Amino acid sequence: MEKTNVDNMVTITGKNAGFNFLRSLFAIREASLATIIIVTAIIMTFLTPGFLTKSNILTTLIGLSMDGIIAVAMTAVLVMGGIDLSVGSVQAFASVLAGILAVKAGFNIWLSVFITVLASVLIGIINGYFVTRVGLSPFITTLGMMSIARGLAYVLTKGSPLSLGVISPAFDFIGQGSILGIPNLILILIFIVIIFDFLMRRSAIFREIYYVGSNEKAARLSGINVDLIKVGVFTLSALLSGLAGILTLSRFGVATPTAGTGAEMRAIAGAVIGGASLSGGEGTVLGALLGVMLVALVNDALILLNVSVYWQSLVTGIVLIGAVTIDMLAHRRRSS
Amino acid sequence: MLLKAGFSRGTMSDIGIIAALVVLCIIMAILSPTFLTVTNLLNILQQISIISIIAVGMTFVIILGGIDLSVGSLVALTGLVMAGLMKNEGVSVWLSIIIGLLCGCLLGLINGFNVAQIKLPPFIATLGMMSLARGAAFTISGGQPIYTLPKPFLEISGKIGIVPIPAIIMILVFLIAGYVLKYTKLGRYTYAIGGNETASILSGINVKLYKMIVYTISGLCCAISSVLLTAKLDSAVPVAADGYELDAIAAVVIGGTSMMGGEGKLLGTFIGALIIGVVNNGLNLLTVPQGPQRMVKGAIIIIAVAIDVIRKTRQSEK
Repeated sequence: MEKTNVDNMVTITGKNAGFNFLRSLFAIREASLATIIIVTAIIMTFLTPGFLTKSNILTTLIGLSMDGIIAVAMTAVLVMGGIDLSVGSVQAFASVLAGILAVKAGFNIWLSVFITVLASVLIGIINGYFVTRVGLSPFITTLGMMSIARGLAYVLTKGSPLSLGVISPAFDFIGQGSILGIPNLILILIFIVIIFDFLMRRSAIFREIYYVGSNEKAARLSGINVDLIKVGVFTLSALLSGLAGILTLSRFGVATPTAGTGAEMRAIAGAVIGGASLSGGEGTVLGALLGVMLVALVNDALILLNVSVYWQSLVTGIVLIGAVTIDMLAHRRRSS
Repeated sequence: MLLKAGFSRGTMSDIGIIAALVVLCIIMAILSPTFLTVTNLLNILQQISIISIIAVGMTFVIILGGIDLSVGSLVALTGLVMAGLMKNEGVSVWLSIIIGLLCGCLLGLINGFNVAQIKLPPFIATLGMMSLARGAAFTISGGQPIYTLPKPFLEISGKIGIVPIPAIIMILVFLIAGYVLKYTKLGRYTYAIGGNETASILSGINVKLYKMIVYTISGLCCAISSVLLTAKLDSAVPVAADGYELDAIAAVVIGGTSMMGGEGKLLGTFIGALIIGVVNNGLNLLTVPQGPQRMVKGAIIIIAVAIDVIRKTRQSEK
């Protein structure tokens, strides 16, 4: 023990200031994640000519945009010390509800979108109600909601996908168009990430989520309205998942009850790779985005390298365990 | 003190959950005349055997304060290993089953190692294993199912008299696991570690070792369950048992085991599995389509646990 301390002393004093700067940079999870992503990207560029093309990068980013938006919401939930398993089902429910209202009920598309947003908010409030008032664990509440929302999506569509047809070019533009060569979906993702990253770092109300997550009792005693924060975060989660559903509808022009299957796991994985702790109190939105990007990048790399699809899930698992292990070891070295 | 907590707590909460089960059965019996027949009740036991054996392992893991998301994938992977060995490699049925069980233990041990030694959060370690094992299942099978398995193997899903063999195996697993959890060092330490890990370390329990053992038990339960599933379907498919982790966790939590660890009972898990089984069976008898079925299932999970939670808070307020 003493010996390693001495060794550490030697390394710290023996290197120049630049090294120390690097060291402190790597103490930030986002920086080490970004480095892993960049290194992977550089390796990919050498391995396959198809990687560093505009179309491949944009396709990959569009592909992860829905999971990215949901991961933003998931970060807030995890920071609060909760979990939301219903996100993928809410995404499907929202896309189906908006589609049904517009096609079958003949509503104006924007009215449908508005109603869908309200319905998503309602789902979030219900989740929050059961967690705060009834006292159910977030896991059980959102597990139940996961079945209910997915079931609703099946009931509304009777199980088969519903085509939106040509209803509104303006609505299609949101999910399919691009501004200055950058697809809207990517812009929306970046916008949401910037807004919520800023809020989670700087806004007083959003900082309270961290207090609640790291010590609920202390937060309550210091006068924070814990229940309100919890309901708010679950509502935010359902709202962003609903938004992802509406964007899915706009992107594909089809409402499918199977949309967003497994999104909860991808979002949780992304958030945790990005530094969120499942026991609450830790995590950043930017980290979660980078986590989702890393997983998507690895998947993209496997496809480009013509690795059989059967291997992809296996490699994703290894990346997930590997990334968190590296981070754990780095943490331990720093704290010892 | 710490060790005794597991005994005394939970006796009352069992009554609440059993009442919920009885009410549910009465409703189903009124709605469907075929529900309350011996054949159908034995059917339910057979149907829940696969999930509830997984839930046995899950109960251990959750009492320990962990979670195992990899169970569904482990069922698929061990099933393919067994079926592949007996169908394609000509290994004898029993040897294939033993290798399959060992394979389940090994995968569980890897989970345990990652959690105990590398100190990964259980959620992440097993989420990773969930992808990894599912991927391995696709890789070794090339995405193809393995079917028409040897006769002696298929007999596992048969019946002795009128009692389905899977139901007997399930009850045996519950009895053995119940004994282990209640009367052995392993079981009591599981409660102790889940209740207070730091205190357990300080009182000299080899926490790392017992964590690895508990995750290995979960892997073993998956492999046992996989034998039943593969024999029942007469095929091993890489997509098998998808989403079983959530059903198993639901059974455990409906049964009154706390997600925070340190408390829980196998009897509760069995009743939890029965509630899920009765709901599934009832909805099928009533030919309810998939959409409403999911909604009802979700609502029942929430309501069953909510009743229990509300009752507990009332009790503690008195």
